[in-house]
Amino acid sequence: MIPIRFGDRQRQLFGMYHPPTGSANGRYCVVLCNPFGQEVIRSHRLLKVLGDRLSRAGFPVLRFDYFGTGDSDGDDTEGDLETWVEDLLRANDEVTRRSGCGASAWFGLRLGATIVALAAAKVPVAPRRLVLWDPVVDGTAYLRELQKAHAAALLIDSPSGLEIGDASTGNEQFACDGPEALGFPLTRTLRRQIGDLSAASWAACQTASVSLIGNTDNPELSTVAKLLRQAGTTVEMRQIESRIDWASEEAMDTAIVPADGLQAVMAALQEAT
Amino acid sequence: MIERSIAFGADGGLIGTLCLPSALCTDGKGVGQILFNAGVVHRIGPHRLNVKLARNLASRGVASIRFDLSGQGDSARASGNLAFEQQAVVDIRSAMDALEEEANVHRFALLGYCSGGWHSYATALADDRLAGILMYDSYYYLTWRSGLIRRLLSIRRHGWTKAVGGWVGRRVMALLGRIRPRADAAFVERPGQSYGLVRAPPKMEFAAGLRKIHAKGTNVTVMYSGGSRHYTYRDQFQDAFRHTGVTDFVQHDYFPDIGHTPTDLATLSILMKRFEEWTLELDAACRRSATEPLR
Repeated sequence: MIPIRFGDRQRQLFGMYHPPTGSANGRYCVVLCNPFGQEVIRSHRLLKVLGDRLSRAGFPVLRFDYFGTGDSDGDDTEGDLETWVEDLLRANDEVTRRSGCGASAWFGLRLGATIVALAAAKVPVAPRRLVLWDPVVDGTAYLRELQKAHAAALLIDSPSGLEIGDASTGNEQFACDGPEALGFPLTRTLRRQIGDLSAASWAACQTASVSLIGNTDNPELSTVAKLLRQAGTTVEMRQIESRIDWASEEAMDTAIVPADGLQAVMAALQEAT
Repeated sequence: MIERSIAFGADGGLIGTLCLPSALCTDGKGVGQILFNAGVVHRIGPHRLNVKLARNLASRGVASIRFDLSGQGDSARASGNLAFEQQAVVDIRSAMDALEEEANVHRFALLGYCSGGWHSYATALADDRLAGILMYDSYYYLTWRSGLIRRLLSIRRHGWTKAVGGWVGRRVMALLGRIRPRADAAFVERPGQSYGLVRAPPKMEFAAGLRKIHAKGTNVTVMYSGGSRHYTYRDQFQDAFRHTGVTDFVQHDYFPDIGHTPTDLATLSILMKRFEEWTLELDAACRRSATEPLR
């Protein structure tokens, strides 16, 4: 693995480049896209393991942090959805330049999957394949989910164990305009952009094929699949058993690398070669 | 401010990001800040705390490196010849070497968050270049008063029946030998389970280690949040180490209103500010006292 910083001099992005170490696949490289906020910390290990495995399978891989996140330049409040879409395009340019591959595939997790779909509507050369794990489709529902997780975390984090709220109610009880979630700010711009997300946001997504990965009881996957098929995209669904609470504050205690999800991503990318 | 991400260490397997002041101080008298994992959180720190702290420090002229220990975050696994705790010390010393080379600093401030505190303590025993270590929510040593407060808080939270019932149940299990009795009242929260306990060094051994570290001229600071069930009042450290000769030089601080990992940004900012002040105080003290860098 090679740590790199790339992009404009004034707004450098951090990336980990995994050169192919197995028999060279040669047909395309892979960009891995983070989710948002606390979910980045929770899933860091998963993406690292995925990068390692893809590298060993012969794929050049780039993991990276969006502007204002992780190890990249920028304060927490400086990033937004539009910026992050542009960052993905930069990351794609970087990995294709480094690897010499003319084509790429993109993997996104949660909000990262949505960023992948939005970027695929803007990219000059459509990615060969998109692999999307638990994409965020309904932005308002996602914001509420974050606020519920935030309330639950405050309860756990409360000094001396004093209760400060009730996080046991349904998502609908939570407002979607909270200015922060799980230790990360949600700026007004970002809240508006996420709140505007819906199935319609996927209409312009251009790619030859999409793999959707998630639990069997995720209705949003079916919605997205239907929409993409209507646009002429080949869509396959890969259902996994793992039920993952992505928006959890328990990262100090847990790192998640669900085996079935990992296998599904690997299979989706390898079968597309 | 300049940031550069590097691979370093014996096999180049450690991954870190240098954060250097734009006008790099080259007099070699200040400190360099070493930041690394808190539990399983990679080098950016809980809620990106390490990144923000590093950049704030750089704006005040302090260089830093934030990095992942072997086998954590982006760093490669070590060869496996050393135990994890020993490997962590080797890794931290490699980070000091890297920062020394890049930023011309020769003394270091080591922030150990949660389990990171164990590694900070062990490194300070092994290396003479440390100007100070900060152990945040690391080793806890109980006193009769901390135990009493803990039980009262438990009653307040869960009610008499559940709190007392649970305590009696645990005592019965201990008597039956189903769980091991606590030795020397020295415990540390295990990174990996919210309230699991692993044994800390026995109190007198820890005190001897702290004296040894102090004798090297290394500042020792312990900080505790209100998020632990095991540290329950401001002077618990002083009470636990009364008559051991360490309370005269170990600085201790307690934040009853802050959780172990602050979730809300305002509280996180308070904690980060305190860490920053600690480093800057250390930096200023080093600049005042150091006539020549230690090597």
